Amino acid sequence: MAEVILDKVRKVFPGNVVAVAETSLKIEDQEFVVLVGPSGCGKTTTLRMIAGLEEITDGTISIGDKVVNDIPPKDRDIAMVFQNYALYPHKTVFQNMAFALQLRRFPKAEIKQRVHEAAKILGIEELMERRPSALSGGQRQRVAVGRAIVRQPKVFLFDEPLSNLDAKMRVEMRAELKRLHQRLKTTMVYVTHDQVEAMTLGDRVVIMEGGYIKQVGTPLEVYDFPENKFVAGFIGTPPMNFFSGNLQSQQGSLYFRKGSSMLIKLPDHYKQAMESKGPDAAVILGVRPENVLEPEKRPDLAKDTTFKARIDVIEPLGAEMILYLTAENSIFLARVDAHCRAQVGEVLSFAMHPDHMHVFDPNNGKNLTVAAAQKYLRG
Amino acid sequence: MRGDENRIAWMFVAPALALYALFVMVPLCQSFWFSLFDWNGYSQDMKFTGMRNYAALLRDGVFWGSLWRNIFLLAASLVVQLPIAIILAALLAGPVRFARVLRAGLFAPMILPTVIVALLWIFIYDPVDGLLNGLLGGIGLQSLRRGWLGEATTALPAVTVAVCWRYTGFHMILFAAGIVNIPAETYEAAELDGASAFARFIHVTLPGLYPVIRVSALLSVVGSMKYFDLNYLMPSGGAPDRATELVATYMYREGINADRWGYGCAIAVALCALTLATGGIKLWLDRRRSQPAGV
Repeated sequence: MAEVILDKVRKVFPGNVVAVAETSLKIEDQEFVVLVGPSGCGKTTTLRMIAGLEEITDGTISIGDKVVNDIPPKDRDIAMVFQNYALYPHKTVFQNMAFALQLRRFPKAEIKQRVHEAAKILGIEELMERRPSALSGGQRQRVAVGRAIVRQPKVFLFDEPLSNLDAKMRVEMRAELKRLHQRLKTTMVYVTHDQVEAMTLGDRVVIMEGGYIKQVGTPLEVYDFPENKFVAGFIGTPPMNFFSGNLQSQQGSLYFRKGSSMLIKLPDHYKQAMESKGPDAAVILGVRPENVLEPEKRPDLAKDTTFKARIDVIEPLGAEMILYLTAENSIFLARVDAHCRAQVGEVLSFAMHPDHMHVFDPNNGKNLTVAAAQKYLRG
Repeated sequence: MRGDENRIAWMFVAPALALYALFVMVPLCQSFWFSLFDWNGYSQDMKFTGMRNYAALLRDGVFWGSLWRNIFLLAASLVVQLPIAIILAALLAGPVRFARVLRAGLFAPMILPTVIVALLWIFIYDPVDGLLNGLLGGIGLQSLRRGWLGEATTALPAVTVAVCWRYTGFHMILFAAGIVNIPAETYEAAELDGASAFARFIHVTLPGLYPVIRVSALLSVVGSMKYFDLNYLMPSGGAPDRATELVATYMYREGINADRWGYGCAIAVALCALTLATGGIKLWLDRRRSQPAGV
């Protein structure tokens, strides 16, 4: 069991390509941390630096109480599960899982016992004599996880392990990994570009972009209180809606104005956060699709935030419905009740939930109201 | 629909088949036909002898000696040439400076004309001022200096070294291409599992190269059985006791030089049958070994 500490870690590839800018992160013992971000954000490079498969340009990485910068991968007491499984194709499942222990000269009886225990946990006992080519994608991934488990490492590293599986299998394996973490109680670092995977698996989620960590927090924290526009847009399906407009003061209240028909009252507790912004300052208003309301259903919340929008597309999803709307030349989405009777082409009133609006600085993407919202909602 | 597809497929295959029939199958059948005659290849005097040439071949000590040398060459190809090619490919796949230049250099013998290669090695083995004898003299091993191509005991190994040198680069390129296809993640997984560089070579590189090794081995087997060039060219004037004679060179000497066209054709047909048989056995063994486990 061990914590993983990245202290001012940088990775610059030849040609001065900065893959990971100065990054510091503390992963607690037994924590499941997910690094998530789009391709090229530096998440895999970060994981590979922890594994020792990539040299560090600057900074230090510690596992447990040991700085591991100069320790080779095999001696870091970590195990890694790769995206394409990386099984040895000529070895049977048993041999694949036993290989690391054989190289470390474990007694045969212990190897057998560990492999069978891991196989039992993963439900692959009947596959032990098969070769990887005779396994399905899900079975291969289980073997890859099993190969990591038998090592009983301090830290598990997962590099997009579910990317090659079909949607159904991915959901199943996701739950299995979660169960595995609860059972093994080991530190796990998991890389994915899938924000649903990140939200469902991680005790904490690290969102990266362009080599920088944009936010670290629990899944709910990053969802409810994104610190910047990138995180707000990256986390959540469908993503957050953004409206470019201006601030406007009116009778002591603060409003967001877009065009002639959209005048949204911002919560009073945002006023202080907006003080630095001059009157008429350009801002971006962000609101999640589930916080775009039908006013007649929540008249208490819809007061002062109502506006008209045209329905362009309706996507019925069974339990709910996604509406594609247009207002003031902005296309945005609303997640509404499945029984909503909206018709394509109709112009209806919609409102924004006053407690779940975010105001972003258009220059740096910073969420200007995150602290105020946190303080207000958490009392 | 199926019939149309078949017709189109045959249309595409037909030109290649026609050429193959014209330049391979017809001469092969002709060779077999001529092998049934006692004939010098150009006179009107063609005497039908049935299978007598084949019976003579079975009693011909030179033929069996030549076949033994072919097997020696085959063994050298499999035991020396391929392992060296694999090791070179693996070494040059790593972070080696000038790897491309080295690869090109090692492949160069393959693109040199055979006559140039023969001349080069004749110079190396020259008994008076050859490079090899010079080196041996230089390091004090005067006693080992000899006429490498002129002595019955050393002529065959000497030519075999030249043959292996020529084709090692070719096989190395095949193996290098095979190594590129082994996923980097498998090496990384092995590294994390605690495998040393040697263990990674044994447990990842070699098994990953199995398909290429099979192809290379098949090419070596077939190539060794029908080999001709350097064994014919290098011992200019012929090595003593036919020390470098192979089945193919023997066929040439009998059929062309000795005007025994019918007998030469019998050797050719036997060579063809032997090549097909060894290639066939090799493929059969491969197929047996590649049965997947546990399916």
